[in-house]
Amino acid sequence: MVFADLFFLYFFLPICLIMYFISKKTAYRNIVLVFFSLVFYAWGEPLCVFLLVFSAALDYTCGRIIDKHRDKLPAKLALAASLIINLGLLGYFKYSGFIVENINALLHTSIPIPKTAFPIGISFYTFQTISYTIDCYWGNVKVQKNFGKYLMYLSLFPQLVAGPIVRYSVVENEIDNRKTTLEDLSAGFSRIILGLSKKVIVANNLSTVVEALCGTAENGYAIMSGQSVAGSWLGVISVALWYYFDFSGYSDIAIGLGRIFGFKFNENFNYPFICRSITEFWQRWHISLGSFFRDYLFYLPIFGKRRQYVNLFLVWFCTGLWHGASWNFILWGLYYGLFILIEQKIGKKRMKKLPAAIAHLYTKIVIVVGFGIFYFENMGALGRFFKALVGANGGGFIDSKTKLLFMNNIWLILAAVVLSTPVIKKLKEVMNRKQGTYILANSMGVILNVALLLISSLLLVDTTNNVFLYWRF
Amino acid sequence: MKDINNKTNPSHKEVEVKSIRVIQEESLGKSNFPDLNGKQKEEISINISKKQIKKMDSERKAQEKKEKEILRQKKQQTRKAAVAKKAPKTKNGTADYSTEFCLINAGVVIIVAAAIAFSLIFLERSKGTSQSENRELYEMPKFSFASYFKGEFTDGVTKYFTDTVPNREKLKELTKKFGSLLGVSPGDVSYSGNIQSSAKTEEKFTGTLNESKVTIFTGTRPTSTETKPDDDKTQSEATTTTKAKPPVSKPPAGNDTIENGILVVGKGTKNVRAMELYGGGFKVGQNYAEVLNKYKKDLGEYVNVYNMCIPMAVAFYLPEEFEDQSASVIDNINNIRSYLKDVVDVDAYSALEKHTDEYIYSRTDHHWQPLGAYYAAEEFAKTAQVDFADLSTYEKLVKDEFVGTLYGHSGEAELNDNPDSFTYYKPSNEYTTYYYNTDFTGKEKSTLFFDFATGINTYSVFLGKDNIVTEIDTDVKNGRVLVIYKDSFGNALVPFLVGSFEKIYVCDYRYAEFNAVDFCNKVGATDLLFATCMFTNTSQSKVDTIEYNRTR
Repeated sequence: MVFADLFFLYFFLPICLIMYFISKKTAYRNIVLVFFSLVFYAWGEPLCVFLLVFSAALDYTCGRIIDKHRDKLPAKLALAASLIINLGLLGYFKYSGFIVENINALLHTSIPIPKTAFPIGISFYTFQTISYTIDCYWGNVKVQKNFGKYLMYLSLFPQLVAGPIVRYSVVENEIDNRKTTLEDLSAGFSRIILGLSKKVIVANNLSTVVEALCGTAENGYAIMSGQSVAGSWLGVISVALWYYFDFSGYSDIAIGLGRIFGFKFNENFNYPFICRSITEFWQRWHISLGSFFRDYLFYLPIFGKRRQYVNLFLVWFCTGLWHGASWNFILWGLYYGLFILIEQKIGKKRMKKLPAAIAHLYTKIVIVVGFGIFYFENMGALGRFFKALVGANGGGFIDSKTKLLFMNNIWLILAAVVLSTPVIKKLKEVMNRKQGTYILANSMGVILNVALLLISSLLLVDTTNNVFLYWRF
Repeated sequence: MKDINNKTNPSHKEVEVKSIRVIQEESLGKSNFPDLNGKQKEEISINISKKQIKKMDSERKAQEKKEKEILRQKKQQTRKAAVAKKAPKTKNGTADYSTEFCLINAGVVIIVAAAIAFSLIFLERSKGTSQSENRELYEMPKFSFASYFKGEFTDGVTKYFTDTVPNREKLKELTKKFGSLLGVSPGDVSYSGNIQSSAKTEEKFTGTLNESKVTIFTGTRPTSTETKPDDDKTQSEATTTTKAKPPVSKPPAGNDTIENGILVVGKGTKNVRAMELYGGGFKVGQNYAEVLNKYKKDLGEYVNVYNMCIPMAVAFYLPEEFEDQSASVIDNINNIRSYLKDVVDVDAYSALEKHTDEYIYSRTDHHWQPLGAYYAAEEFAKTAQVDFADLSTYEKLVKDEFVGTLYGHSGEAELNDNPDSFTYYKPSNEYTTYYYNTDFTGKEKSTLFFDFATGINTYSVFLGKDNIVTEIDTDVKNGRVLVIYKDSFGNALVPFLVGSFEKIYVCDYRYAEFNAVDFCNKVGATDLLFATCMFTNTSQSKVDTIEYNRTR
């Protein structure tokens, strides 16, 4: 099931909320959550839901073993088993086709390419379940002795299929002790509506601009061969905004839903486009993934003194690979790794001294070009994209279609740019300072919520299942 | 709360104050501020004027003790007083109504969402055919374990739920209107690239054209098809022994698919017009011409093979400033012409070009209007040297409120608001129409026109549908038997040729399930007309299909 869907919003969710809130005890509420989470996942993956339950059982067991035989061999074996099986499953379902393709290309063999079904969300929940076992091993969290509760953590539908990657330590206490206050309810609903609007109103409409200017994978991004300079820049800026609104919208809905159930997930995005360095960008973009790699991969003391470079490479290789079984994603990860390395060499202090305008220009160009690498999944198209960016394809500086598309969507694009900065947040802070404007801001908030909910719901009528982008990862 | 000590502040609106306090009280009672609940029955009078409020800061320390008590007495405060001192405060020093706003916000959202959920679940669902999308709406799937484990059941339920939203068509129109709020349309033009964007080819035709003549022959042929001592035929028979596979899977029944960006011009006027941009392609065009040449070779000298490249609206109505977005239709037509060998070209382009100020193309549909087809048919009749009935001899019928495919594909609400009127013409001579299955079996007598065709399907007033073979026997006695291989553009030509040929067979190249050359020989064709639009003629998969009709 997807969030931006009438069936989820107006059928599944109401029933789930009613069942949840008529159950008074947390224990019953947990049962309700497990049941609805499994239904939610099985709705899209009627078979792979068993894989999810298996993963939960695996790490639940490993956790118990680690707890029982702390610091002894069985604990180490349990950790190893968890890592190997979890990553093995992820590798099999997500990367086997890619690996075989590359082996075939490299060794001129013709091993048949395995066609594995891709269980939605496997990249997200695998990381969650791994983080639990490692944290158990490191003694960061208490072992969970109730399988039902562990299954609830892993399958929790708000964050199951597209993140954020909620670590066990974040919700550890809330599994048994949580309350939904009036404030949680209100903030949760507001957050869901915000996320829904980001997805349905902004991201979906931006995607038409993206497709018109950059083409789609189905037609091999053919349009890039003659795209004008302005067209390709507008296209790739739209790509960046599109991904941001789509993905952060999903995270907003997840966080909002979590809040309604009494969970406080960590933020996953923090206005990434206002960053002044690429390092900062990754502290603001998909925070749960970046911090996962930082905590569980970067600080692993396995490479000794050379660790800084090897680990940096490894982290960014993995970050890229995590996003998809394709070379462009790996290139995309390493591209960021390179800029982060350069920034490290320059040093934090000197980076901070950069004039704001230059810092913003530098980061925005790197990010926008980065999203181009992310978007064009085949290398030929990526080459055409780079040529188009600098006008080396003979497409001219600007064409009538780009002008027209820009004007046809000017309010959308402007709104997307403005809303990707904390302008509204700042405005709210200012308005909260005075009584009159405080009342006004909050009243406007309520009215805006209703308007956005109505518009988003209306726009959903005309979509046959609009999938969130980050589903494939 | 009944005792309001508001004397020094007579300007306050009591009603407003009361209502806010009621909400405060209710929510406070729910233990968000437990420390305030204890002594609520105490009554404290406070006199605060506007001027005093400004002095508050200095007074603050002195009054601190008193304030604490006052805080517990929220229900007796005026709003101004609450602002100044008594309500729980935010960091910024304003009164904190966050609980109230939470209640209002959550309450309002729940009520609105519940209302939507209620109407989505309990109101009468839409069903049947969607007029604007020309497809059947999803139905509630039947449950079976097999379909469940394939994910088909759950997927079907979700689609059913979204697809059959009560009042769907009206809501969809609103959706489209919202789209126009996202930006402005300079020069009243908008672009929809939501299907696919074609890469336009940059080719200019500079070659010369050769002409082929028509042979009129209606007598008995010197040889039967089976024993035709023609080298070419033997050759092509050799190639047909190995049956080629269909080059492409069959397209979905119904309309041609729209694969290109759509430009909408003349917005804000009654003449708002959508047109599909054209990608072109000289190489494919050459292939198309060569396929037609092979048909001519196979059919030999006694069958005239004609090529009619039908231009689309974009050929005539593209604003000058957008010429960089669409390949030149005439250059591509000329390119095809230059490769034709012994195939007779019908210059539909020039015929239409003279009448571009008439209603020859629909504004909301990707097809032409019957009037456009009339001019093209006239040109064909002239080329084929057959009689042609003047438009005045036809019975004229008009269908209003025709909103075609380009509305659904562009999402441009103005097209829906300014529908086309569709004028078609019925010939006055005598004729009988039969329809066959696509394998040329199951002959059935029917009518040429389907007057009940409405909505997006209005264009199928001719022949009804594409996946059939049509035979029309007319009262014309000239011995000429015409076979038309066409796409949907060709349908509109048929009625205008009823007065020109003794027999007409109409085959859709996408659906026919037999060898086209055999078919022509079998029915004794004297003329074979390829009447397809330029999208077809420069699309390799479609050209492959036309070729497959010859070799299968």
